[in-house]
Amino acid sequence: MVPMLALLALAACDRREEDLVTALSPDELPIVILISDEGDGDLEDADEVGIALELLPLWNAQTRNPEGETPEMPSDVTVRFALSNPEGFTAWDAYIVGVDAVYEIDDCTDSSDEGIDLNAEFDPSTGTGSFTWPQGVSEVEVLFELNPDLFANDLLDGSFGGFTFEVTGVEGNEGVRVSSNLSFDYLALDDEAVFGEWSIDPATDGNWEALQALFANFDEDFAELGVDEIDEIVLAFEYDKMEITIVLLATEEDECDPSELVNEEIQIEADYAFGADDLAGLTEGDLELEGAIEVEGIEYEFVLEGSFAISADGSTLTLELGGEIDDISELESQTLTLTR
Amino acid sequence: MKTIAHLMVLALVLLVAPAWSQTALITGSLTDERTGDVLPGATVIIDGTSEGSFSDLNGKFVLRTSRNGALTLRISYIGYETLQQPVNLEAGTSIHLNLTLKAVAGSLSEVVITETLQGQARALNQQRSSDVVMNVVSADQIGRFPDPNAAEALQRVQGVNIERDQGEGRYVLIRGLAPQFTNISINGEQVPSPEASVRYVALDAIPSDQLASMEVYKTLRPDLDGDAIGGSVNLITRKAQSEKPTISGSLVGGFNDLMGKFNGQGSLQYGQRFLNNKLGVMLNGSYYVNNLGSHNWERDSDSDILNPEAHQLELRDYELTRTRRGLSGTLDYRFNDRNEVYFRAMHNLFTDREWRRRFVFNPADEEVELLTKDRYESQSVNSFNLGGIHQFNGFSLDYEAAYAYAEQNTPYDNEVGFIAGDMVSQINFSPVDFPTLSTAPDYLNSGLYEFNEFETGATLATDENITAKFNVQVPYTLGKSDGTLKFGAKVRFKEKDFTIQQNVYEAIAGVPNADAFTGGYFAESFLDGRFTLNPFPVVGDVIAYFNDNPEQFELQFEDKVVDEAVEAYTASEDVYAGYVMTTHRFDRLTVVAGARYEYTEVAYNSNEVVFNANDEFEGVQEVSGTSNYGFFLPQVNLKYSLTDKTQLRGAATYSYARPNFEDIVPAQEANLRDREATVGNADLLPVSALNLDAFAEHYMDNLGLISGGVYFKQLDNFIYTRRFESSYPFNSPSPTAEGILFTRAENGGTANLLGAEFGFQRQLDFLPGKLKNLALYLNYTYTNSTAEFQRTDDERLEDINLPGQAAHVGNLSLAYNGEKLTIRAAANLNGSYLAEIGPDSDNDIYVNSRVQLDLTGGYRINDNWQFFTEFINLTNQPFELYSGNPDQMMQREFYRWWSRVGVKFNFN
Repeated sequence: MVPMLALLALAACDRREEDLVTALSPDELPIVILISDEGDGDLEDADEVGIALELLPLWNAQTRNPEGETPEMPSDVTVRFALSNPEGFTAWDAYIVGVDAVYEIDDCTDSSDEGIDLNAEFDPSTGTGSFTWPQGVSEVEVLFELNPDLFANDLLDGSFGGFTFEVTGVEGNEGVRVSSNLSFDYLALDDEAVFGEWSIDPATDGNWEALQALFANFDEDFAELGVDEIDEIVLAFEYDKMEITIVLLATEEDECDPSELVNEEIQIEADYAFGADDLAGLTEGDLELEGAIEVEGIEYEFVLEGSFAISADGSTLTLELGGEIDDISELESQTLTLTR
Repeated sequence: MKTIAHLMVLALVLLVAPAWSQTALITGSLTDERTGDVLPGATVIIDGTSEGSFSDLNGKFVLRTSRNGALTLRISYIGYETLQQPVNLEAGTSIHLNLTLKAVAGSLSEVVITETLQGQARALNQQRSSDVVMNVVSADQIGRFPDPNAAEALQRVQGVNIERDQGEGRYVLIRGLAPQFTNISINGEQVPSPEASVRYVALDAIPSDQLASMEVYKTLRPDLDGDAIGGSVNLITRKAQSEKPTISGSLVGGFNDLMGKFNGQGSLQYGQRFLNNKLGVMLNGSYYVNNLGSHNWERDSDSDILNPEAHQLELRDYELTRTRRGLSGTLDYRFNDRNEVYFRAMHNLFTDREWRRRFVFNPADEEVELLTKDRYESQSVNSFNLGGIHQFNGFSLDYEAAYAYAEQNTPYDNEVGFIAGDMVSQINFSPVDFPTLSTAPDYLNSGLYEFNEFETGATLATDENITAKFNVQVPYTLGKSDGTLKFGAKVRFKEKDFTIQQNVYEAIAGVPNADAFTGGYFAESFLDGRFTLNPFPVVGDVIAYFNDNPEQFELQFEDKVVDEAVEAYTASEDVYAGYVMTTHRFDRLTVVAGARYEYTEVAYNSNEVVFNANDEFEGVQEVSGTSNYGFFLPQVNLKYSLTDKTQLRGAATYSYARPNFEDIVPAQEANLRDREATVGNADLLPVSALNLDAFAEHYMDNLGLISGGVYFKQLDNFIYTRRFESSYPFNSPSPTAEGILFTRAENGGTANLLGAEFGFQRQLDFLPGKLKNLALYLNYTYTNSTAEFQRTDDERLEDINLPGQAAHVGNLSLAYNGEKLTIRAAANLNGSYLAEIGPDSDNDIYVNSRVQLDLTGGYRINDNWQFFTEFINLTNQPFELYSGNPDQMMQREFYRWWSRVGVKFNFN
């Protein structure tokens, strides 16, 4: 007995267990509900906003997938959410006029198409609501029906309308948690400012050359494109990025309805180096865009810098942009003229 | 191999069978007349002839002769009176002698052979009787001032220095060569390494009080393993010697000045022979716990010392608790004086709980990081040997089967990191000793540090050896001279593998800043108050928060896949060896000549982590391969005795060093964003070496020794780390990236190493009165090497010193060896050496030279009890790294002094 006690006493000297807290192993981690984005925005007259919720990927020791693997909800659970920080209104029912929740069944079908009801509820008096996340589903989108007239006006607003969405809890399965510190900010973007879609007429003097000079490296198909192959070019200032969509005359079958033909498109994106707030109330100002492109299989970072100016009648936008693509080229400043 | 074995047996039969019937066998044991202690290394000679033998570690000798009639054995032992023992032999018979020797009296040499000097006497006698250049540390020398581990006990040997970790000895370097050139054995059998990346053994895992003796071979014989270019260390465990029970042990307590904490050590040993001296039982247990720490500053130059803007400063505050547990046992059964079998078992466990707390100042990014690491690591080395020794009239046979297992288990290795931005700091590294840091005092506000990431990992490295071997010795006479033919064979099957678990978590949202987790120990006077620290995050608190709130963290899957794949491997290594040699004695000249052949088959499996040109992970591919090589190693050792006490030695030997598994496994890992990659080298060849030695030694009756020699080594295919540009993946027909800077172990050309060593030790018995009890001990080894290699891919060849080779190594100590009181002041010099080859000479990393001063003292209370104390690192010598030259200091780590005090007891 004494030697045993002595051995135990000596074993403790190595302090192996002292203040030791063993971390959960990857296969002990819970299923976690996340909000897919930190925020989004749409023009002030938008009538709906969708907020995507997803499940955090988990480790699979068998497949050792370096991306992790997105789990499915193990059982039906009730997800509770709350809206906060109303901007531009005081009563929730002034802006939020309905709520729904859907999930994607395939690329062309969602749960509402199949008549599946996720029991989405919203109480305007408290700003809280809930919906059912069904078993076997990995992603759900909460859709808020908005009052499109609340913010729609012809004034250049110096601030945004909007609200904050948070997931506040989950019930029905102890192995499912929410990352409650995450929130989603929705902003109603002022279309009297630079936000919204602008058309670029490639026939306008210098527009096509400026586009090619700036963005030829961004997309091989665009670099090889001729003006006569283009139906229209749309440049949109969105919530967190500028997106150029080149609509081609060439058509292809619609993904969800092969009987329909749709125009082929080329899209080029560049993220703002700042927040959408910085563009509030401005008809002219500086622009800084950034992102990454792949050239011959290698990824390069780019920066575009310049300025924008909207004409007094709001019909014309002039962009001055230049910049550089790391290790490839300097992009000389170009002028683009856009209309809306 | 079977053919070789058959040929050896046939040779044995043809050579010796006719002589067996005429050979007489003398066996004997030698002990101290007063203490009864065994006397290893005694010279036993048939007077008037060159026929003779030496007593082994247990004081036993075996002498075969074709002479008969009345003969006289002359038995000499430094420090003891020479014994003339008459014997009467008949052809074909055997006799056994139990002999005692008497220590010289004061009147003979003015030095009384006190118990304190008996260990020294044994060591010197073993060295003198050896037929190779070697040094011995005896049990008494180990035990007198119980060094905590085997490495520290070896550091006093001529030509030996040690690499330290946190101030404690860890790796052994012989004659200034790097640790990978030193072979470590326990009871003559190689020890597997617990570590995954290297072959050599960290000797801080082995408590010194497990050992009866330590032998350092500087030249090789064919019956020793050939993979020992620098030398070979053999650790020998204890064995019961007497029917009288022997119980000994120690109880030690100590204090670490840096941590203000205590340490403790205890050992207990029991030995006794039973059944009329036939069965021996030796049991030994020891335990050591040490609380230590260090204060350390480091410069991270972001791989370029000449780019000061990229330099970061780390302030590292270490807290450690280390334990060493040793259990060993030997059972031996002597059927008679000529036949015995034995079973030895040894278990050593070294544990290391380490907390590393640090600030990292990054002026370029205006950031400061706050990190705490908490790691537990255990290294165990276990060996089991079952063998027998049989003396026949015409020959002797010994054989052994051994199993050894080593592992390094890190069940947890956790680190939490927090980071604060907008922290402007300026660092000036121009003062070599301590950089100056100018930063906002906010860096001490842990509330400003946001969570960055936390890592939790575990690793397990295992190494298993199964060995079988036999040796046969056959005496023969050639004219007026005689000798012993020895041959044997050995097989060793090794399995080694390394597995990793690594999880890195980053925050999704909501993790509090560092101030929510800070607390516990931190150094309040860091580097003697030169820098101010604050409480660091407590790892356990962060993990507890993670366990409660896992939804706020995100596992980094790709890091996990890469980290767990890239270093993991399994490997097997089968070694087949055979040798034949003769030890031939001509009057004063002894020639040991022969050859050894070792054939090695290596097979390995690992993983290659593939990235595309955008540094995006593409997948893990299994890679496997084999590598086979053989070495023929002719070896000659000469010993010429000018007198009984003066000897000249010479040796020409071949040896080699196997590459580390980690270097040959062709796994590759890349960080294409930083345009860097590492890749193994399946074509890596072992290093081969020609070694030439000339050595002279003179032993004095007063236990003095003056010795010196020169040595030359020519190393072919020396291994170094090369950095060069190539396409990625390496050697791929369809590379995804060009101009990637690769790091890879490669073979260099030829390296020449020339050295000289000198040793002197003696009692200063020419001094008057008590001063004659003073003793001086000094040794010094100088080594110079040039190695030609290609650093980069510009085809230019450069000369460097061999990595790990120190030019200057030495010891100086002054001791007082009174009858009861012993005091020793010892200084140990470890010269600077190249540790890591950089992309250019300015970025070569060197370990700076270091002189450690220790003070030890002992007092023999009576025959059973002894008191001792020691004070280590009295001058607070730091461990230092520099880049290119000593003005570009990269790291200085301080430990302050520590002490131990205790008693030893011995009842028999």
